[in-house]
Amino acid sequence: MAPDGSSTADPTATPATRPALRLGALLRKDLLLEWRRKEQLAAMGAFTLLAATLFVFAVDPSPTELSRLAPGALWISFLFAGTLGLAKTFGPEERSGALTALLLAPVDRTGLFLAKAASAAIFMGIMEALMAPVFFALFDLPLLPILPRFALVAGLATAGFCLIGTLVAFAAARAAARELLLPLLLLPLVLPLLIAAARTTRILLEGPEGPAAESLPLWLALMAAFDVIFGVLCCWGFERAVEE
Amino acid sequence: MAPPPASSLTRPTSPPGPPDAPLLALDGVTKAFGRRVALREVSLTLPRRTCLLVLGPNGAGKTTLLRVAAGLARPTTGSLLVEGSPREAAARLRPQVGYLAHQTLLYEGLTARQNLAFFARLYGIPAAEARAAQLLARVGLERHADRGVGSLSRGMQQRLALARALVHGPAFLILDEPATGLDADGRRLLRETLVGLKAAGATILLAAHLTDAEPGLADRVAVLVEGELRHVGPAAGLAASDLAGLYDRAAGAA
Repeated sequence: MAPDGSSTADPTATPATRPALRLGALLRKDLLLEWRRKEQLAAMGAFTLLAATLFVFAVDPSPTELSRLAPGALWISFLFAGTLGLAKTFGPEERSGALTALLLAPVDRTGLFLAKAASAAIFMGIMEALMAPVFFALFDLPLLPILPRFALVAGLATAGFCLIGTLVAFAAARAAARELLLPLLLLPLVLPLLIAAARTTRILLEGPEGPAAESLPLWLALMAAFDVIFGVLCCWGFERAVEE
Repeated sequence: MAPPPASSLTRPTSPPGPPDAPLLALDGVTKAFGRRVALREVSLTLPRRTCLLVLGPNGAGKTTLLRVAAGLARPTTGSLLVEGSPREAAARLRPQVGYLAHQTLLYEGLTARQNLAFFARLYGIPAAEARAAQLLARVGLERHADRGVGSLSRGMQQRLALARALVHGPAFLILDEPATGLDADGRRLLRETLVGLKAAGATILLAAHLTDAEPGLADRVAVLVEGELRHVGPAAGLAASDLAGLYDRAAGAA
């Protein structure tokens, strides 16, 4: 209790809820910063729209060709756009050293990392939610019939990508050639996720009668396992990366 | 400007631990970044409720010393002891620290009020908005509360950085050249704030250039040159001119 009578801890917060409250404060801060600046969403949205348009005009416009190409084109566009967003994710912390103040606060390193990865995933999720319908429309493919399962695939791919991407973005943010370093380090690491996301999207588009329909659960399980394993590794890696 | 009541800015509760153990002790600390050695075998203690003024030229290692003392940088060799114990010293120390650095450590994309409220929430302070308003008034920025930090002058940003460092009522203040960018009013506010905090029981570690040094505030003065602690002694009775002589002798010592 301070001499002026103000306590420094929220009396309504139990030990179990305090980390959640702090995680909420970190997320709210990132959302507020993005709302004011609109850096990440604008860059990601513009890139995806441009990439989708270029893909459509660059290939043979026959429905079969577009359908065959669509899953790969979709996920390459999303992951490159996500890389653009991740390049800016630690910008606010780097500009005036706010990371130092975060490291002093009573928030463990894993909490800081997960909050940053979660905000990156939220921005990427918003971009995907806005751009996926445009993408499917441009490729003349039906999104609504596969929407729930496609959302699951997108969620798994986005989570894994943002977990790895947040760690790599943090490491790259301290390097001189950060714009080059981020995609060079990140894209090889997320290649298995890209393959799985494109493959599962294609299976969904082929429908339940498609030749690979029965392998869908296996692909989803692989993506979930990838997310869990790399999530743990990235939390561990971030704790060490912030140590001076 | 009236001195801010220190009681509303600090929380000088005694941390747990042996009553006679210093809050902080560095024991033979060396800190290297690759081949560059920033600190060499530095040993010093900081008893509770005292103020240590660290002087040194640019590149002397003052900032590194402060980052080690804040638990932000791990010594390459040597150890950091908090309340007499090296066990999880940095982790125990960090939440007690109010740190004012060279950089403002603020979010330029948020307003002054949003910055303080965010850090208040991070420290689990109830009524974070009220705490932000209270601190903004204390540092004379209430009229600029809803301006983006990026649009504030350097001096205003430094006042806000001071408010951020005090948001959780820290018992231990680490200040790295805190007068940077402040005008005469700002410097007066800073001095009055530090005097009030010290009177309220805060422990202060303050790094400054000789021209900005306030010998009247400090209990002891240290001189750091090329990563070596060349002098540690009492500050009582030292005038600014004495400080200059002491500094010159320590800086010139081989």
